[in-house]
Amino acid sequence: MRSDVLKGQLELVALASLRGGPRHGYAIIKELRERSGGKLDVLEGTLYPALHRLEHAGLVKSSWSTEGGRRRRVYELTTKGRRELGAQELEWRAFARALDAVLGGAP
Amino acid sequence: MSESPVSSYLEQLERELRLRRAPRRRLLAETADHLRSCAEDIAAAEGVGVAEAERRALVRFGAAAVVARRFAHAAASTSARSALAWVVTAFAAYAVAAIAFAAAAPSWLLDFPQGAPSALALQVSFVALALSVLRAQRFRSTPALDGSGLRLITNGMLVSTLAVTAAAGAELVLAVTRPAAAPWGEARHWILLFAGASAVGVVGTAAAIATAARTSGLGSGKRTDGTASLVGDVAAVIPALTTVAVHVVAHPARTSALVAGAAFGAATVAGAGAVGVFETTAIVLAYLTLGRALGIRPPRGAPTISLE
Repeated sequence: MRSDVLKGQLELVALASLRGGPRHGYAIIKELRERSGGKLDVLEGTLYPALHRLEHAGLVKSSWSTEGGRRRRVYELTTKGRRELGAQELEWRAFARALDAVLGGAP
Repeated sequence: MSESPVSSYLEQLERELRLRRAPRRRLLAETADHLRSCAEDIAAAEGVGVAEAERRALVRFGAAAVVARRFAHAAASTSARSALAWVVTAFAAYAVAAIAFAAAAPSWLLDFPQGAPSALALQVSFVALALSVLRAQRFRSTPALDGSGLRLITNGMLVSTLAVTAAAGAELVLAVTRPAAAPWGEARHWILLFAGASAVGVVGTAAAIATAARTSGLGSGKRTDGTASLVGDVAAVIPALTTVAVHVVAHPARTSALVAGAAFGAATVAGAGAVGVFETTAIVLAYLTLGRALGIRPPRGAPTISLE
């Protein structure tokens, strides 16, 4: 799938990935690739500006942790982020249903 | 011995990033961790050497210029939101000072044109600020503001805060150049009140200028047609005013003339014809000079929006 299609949804994807618990950036990318069977691809470096924007908006919070001797920035959802994820998810599903209905009617 | 691909990339990214020291160091640490983890996974999965695995990890990560640009955009969005809070405060402080002045200042301080710069600036400032708040409000749940939206919000903040700061200067000049000797002892607390409001205005101006500096260089550099998005902004935030917004965008000159005419009519009915002429001229001039920057006047050559 073209990366520009995913660009506008990167924040939603990052929020959804964090629903399963705190993760660092690389783990989010790996999960995105695995759960989409490699179909959703993104320039990995663009995830970090998205995460920082989410943090400034109060939707995620982050802290340093050490895993296997490596220092990593770990992100987790805030209560506001969890609410926002629910709202964006509903919006996205309604949009997808509408688009599917239109495309389904095409010859 | 040559540097590893990841080390060279990190040096290039550090040069490209337009961020303060702390966020820059944090991003570089996150990037280094990401790239090394990714290269380890690639080396293990594909059986290639470290340098080749790092090169493949860099292709997945994206060019340093692209990542730096996305960060600049994120920083500008954050800066715009905090600057907007300062500009709203500056407007409120000046409005309170001006209303208190109009209601309670000694009569020798209230003669025209004293007070006229403030009255005019507050109207311009209010319209510019309302447009910025409207645009920011539309994207309140979206962390990333697009480049043209950011530019319009910044323009509105600059116009708003510069208008009240300039008005404060003009009021001061009018006051100190009065021909008659004035009883300045009576005016001391008014001077202090306006000095305080102006100080907040200066902070608001500095915050708006800092945001403008961060916003410059984002987007395509083409002139932004704010009228194209204005209807959508109004429809999303205040749906009841959508029809009004459609008419403003479709007939900008007519709308401006209507507002100016209404102001003139109101002033004339109140027996202040000179003020009416001043107000009408100011509205038309403000629309002509600031309309495009504020996104309420279409750029030259923009297609006409039809209501049919």
